[in-house]
Amino acid sequence: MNTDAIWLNARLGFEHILDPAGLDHVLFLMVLVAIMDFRDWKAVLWAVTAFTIGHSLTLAWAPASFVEQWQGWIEWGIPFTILMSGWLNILRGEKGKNGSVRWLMASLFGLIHGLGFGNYFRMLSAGSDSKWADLVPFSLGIESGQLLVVLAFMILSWAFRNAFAIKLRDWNLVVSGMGTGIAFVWMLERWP
Amino acid sequence: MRQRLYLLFLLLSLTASQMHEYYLSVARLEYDEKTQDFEMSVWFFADDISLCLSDRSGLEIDWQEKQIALADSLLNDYLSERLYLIDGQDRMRPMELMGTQQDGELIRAFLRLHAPETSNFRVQFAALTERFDSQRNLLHFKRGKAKTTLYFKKESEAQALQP
Repeated sequence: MNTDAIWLNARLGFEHILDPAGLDHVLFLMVLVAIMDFRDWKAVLWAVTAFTIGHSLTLAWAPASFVEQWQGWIEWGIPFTILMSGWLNILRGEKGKNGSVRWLMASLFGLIHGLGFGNYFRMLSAGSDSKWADLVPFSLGIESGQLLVVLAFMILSWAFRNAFAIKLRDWNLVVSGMGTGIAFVWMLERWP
Repeated sequence: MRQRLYLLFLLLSLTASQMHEYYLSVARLEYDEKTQDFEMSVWFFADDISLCLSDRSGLEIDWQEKQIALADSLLNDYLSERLYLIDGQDRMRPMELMGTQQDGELIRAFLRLHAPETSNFRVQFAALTERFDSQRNLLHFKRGKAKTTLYFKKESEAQALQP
């Protein structure tokens, strides 16, 4: 493994998250942290990292034949994770922002998103001597992209809430409601 | 004001709608000092390369055994224009397709070029970029123990082969 390949794998992971054509992962992250403020930075970091660990696990171990056979359900499952996260936010409100439920949910849903990255990563590591040498920089690139997305979203949320005097509780309803709505449309479109 | 905000987000919810499409191909190129051959394996998503070949030829592409000779012939012509080496005298040096193999959703193509003289060689990997704007192509090059990786996008120029 050469240093060019390490940097490129990290770059492709980073770009994969920020790709305007890949709004589903970004929307999941937005909904995941919709109920959180800058004061909850530790919970944010745990949730995003748990999500990365989840999708790295399936990238590492999910057999290609499984991903190909269930591709339709995997694509459908990604908006389902957004819908469930949005519902959880709406039902539990601020009670659900800390604790094990949030990072357990993030890691569990990360497993499904990892299956969604599966074909891309399979191509990226085609013919490679070491899948791990490809996976580690790719996942670190994804993690960096996710943290950037979350940071940008939290800054915008903070500015928006302050500009329009919106409480975090109401903001959560807006973002989670929007995420749930979009996810529902995607679930209908992607029905296998 | 708040009602307007809710309406705005509702509108966004109803208009946003897309799948995550991604376009990537990977090639592994090696120079064998004994045989003086460049040997390459290149992987494409089967649906992407089939679509591209089908657009060019007007034929339906099938990678199954009965139809593979036609698909290989079309792929060989295509790759000679979109994935090739350039020698030190600025001459295009297309590689010869030795065969293909389907592995699930991926097509793997094997190519070779005999080249006793390799100084100042460059490589162009523009496959599928004319069809998909966000196509990315990676080429890993190995010569002896030295390795390098090159990255190509739609407007990328040919790059030097120097591990």
